[in-house]
Amino acid sequence: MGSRDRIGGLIMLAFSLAYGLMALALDSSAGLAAGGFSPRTLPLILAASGALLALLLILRPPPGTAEAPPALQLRHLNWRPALLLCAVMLVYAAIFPYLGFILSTVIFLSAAMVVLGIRSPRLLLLAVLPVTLLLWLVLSRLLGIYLAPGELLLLLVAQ
Amino acid sequence: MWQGIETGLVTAFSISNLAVVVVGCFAGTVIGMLPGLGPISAIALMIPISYGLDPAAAMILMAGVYYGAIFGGSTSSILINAPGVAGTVATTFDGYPLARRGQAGKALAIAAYASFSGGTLAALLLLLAAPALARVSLSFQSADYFALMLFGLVAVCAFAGRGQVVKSLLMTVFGLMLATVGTDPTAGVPRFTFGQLDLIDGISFLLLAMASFAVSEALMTVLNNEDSARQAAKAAAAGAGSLALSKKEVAEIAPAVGRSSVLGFFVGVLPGAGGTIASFLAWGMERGLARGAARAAFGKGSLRGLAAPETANNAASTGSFVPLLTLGIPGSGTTAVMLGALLSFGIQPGPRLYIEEPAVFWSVIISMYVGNIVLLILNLPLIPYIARLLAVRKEILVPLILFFSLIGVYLVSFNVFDLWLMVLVGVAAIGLRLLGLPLAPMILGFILGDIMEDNLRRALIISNGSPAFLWARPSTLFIIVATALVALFPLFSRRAKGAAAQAGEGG
Repeated sequence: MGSRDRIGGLIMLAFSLAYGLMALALDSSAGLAAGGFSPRTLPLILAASGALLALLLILRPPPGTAEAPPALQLRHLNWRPALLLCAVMLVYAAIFPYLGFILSTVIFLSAAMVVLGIRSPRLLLLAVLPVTLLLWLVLSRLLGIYLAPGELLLLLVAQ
Repeated sequence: MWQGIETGLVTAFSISNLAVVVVGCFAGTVIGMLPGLGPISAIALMIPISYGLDPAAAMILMAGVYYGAIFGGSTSSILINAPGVAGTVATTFDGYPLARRGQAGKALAIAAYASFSGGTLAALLLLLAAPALARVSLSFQSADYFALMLFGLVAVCAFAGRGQVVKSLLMTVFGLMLATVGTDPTAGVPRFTFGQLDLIDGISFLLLAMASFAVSEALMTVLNNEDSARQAAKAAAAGAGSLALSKKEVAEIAPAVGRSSVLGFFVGVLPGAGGTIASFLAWGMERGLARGAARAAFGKGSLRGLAAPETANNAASTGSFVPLLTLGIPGSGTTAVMLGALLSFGIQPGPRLYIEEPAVFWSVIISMYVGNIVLLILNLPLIPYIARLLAVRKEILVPLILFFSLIGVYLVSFNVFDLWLMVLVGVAAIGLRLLGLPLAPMILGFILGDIMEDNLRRALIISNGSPAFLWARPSTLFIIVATALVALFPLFSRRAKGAAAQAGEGG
């Protein structure tokens, strides 16, 4: 736990310092009321507390139990599919405004399931299509929520 | 008070709200049963749906989901030894050995009866305690509220367990930092927005809750390559056995249920202590009280050993509503998410809630009781069937959880920027999890951040910038002293343990 704590502490220390520096750049006179409380008062207190606690985490003695270095443990994790899933989520965010709810959701769910190892097209269709269509029906028809069809589709229809 | 209870009864027993409790308990059981998804994720996933309801119904839905998720967690603990959350770890000690002996049905029935009794007794205690505390807190001012929030945040960290106190404090501060993103409410100055218009209103609480819990928990099951579906399919095929309990067995567990209810409720009221500590304490207490063969049976399938943590866990969940409803201070990550949802309805929980929104206040308390009944009569007979859901493959489940999280956040803001931010926060949350930094204190800090800053500002203005507001009023001073004592608790307990260990070595 010791080395893991130190890495965590160092990251949080860097974050607190960066946050503190940005807080210093805030306008200290804006909205200054009686009591001397400005928009940067609390952020500065938080930056100092965060840095202090991060230092405590870095400097405290490691627990007695022997432990493998974090790199060794991280290597055992299943990184590839997890990272690919993050990429698929980003793609979903990117295509959503252009392809609209139904198409982008079908692409997202199918891609995510393929990443996790589903290869059967029948299973993919059975898992993806009912969920997408049912939710679209509930949202747009039952609850009356407007789900934009997507800019690309609108362009195609316009032509 | 009676008028309030009447209003609550009418609200809670309306057909639509009864339906909401049933749906909430059912959905909570299903979500809570899935390994990796606990009550926080279950409630977070329900928030987008709750926006379509009135505040009382929304709170009733979330309370039902909370109970259901705890019960669902117990089911996966008993059937496949996979506790969804820390609160049901103690359930596995005796629940799983019982299931392996072919008595899964009996174990599930005990879990349901114990949860019901614990929840019911605690709901009665809540009925008495909440209005009394709400009346006391009516005289509270900004300084008291600031001190109370400080107390809540410190208490959550102090009870976090050995080696976790500094980390929890650090994550609380991190959550408070995240809460400062957006426009400063008084001065109108944008803070930490990097010039992004999308951040002008700050980070959405729903986004943070979904990304930190639902998204990161789903991704963690992929990272750890966890797959309990095969084991669950085996458990479901094996059948649950009889659900019936003999008179002797009821007599054996009844005193344990009574003791654990009271213990659980009071532990739950303490901010930060919650279901996990309550369930371990109750299991330990019953083991300590047992003699001879009964004691030896603990950990090997003792009925008392299963009933005690189940009762205490549920009683503590009810107890944790006391500080939320009366002081507006959540004592746990789950109630913090509920507070966030209430705030987005424009309702500020606290002593005024008792007066201004009696329908919300009382209907939540009464529907907790209704929720317990629903869990007993609906879920118990259905459990063998619901348990088959555990056999759904991870390859299908994880994409669906990710999708519901993403679309849930999008449907509130209709802003694609939130989807990008969600992935970023989800990845950061995984990083924090891998570094062993707890996320519940972060969400607690984030939700209390705005209210805390507001109260601090007001208290400082009233006291002309002097920190004397911290000790000027007896009530503030009392809370500050309590905060200091709680903050020192880990030091005292470590020293006491050290002394006990030395005495043990010496003897």
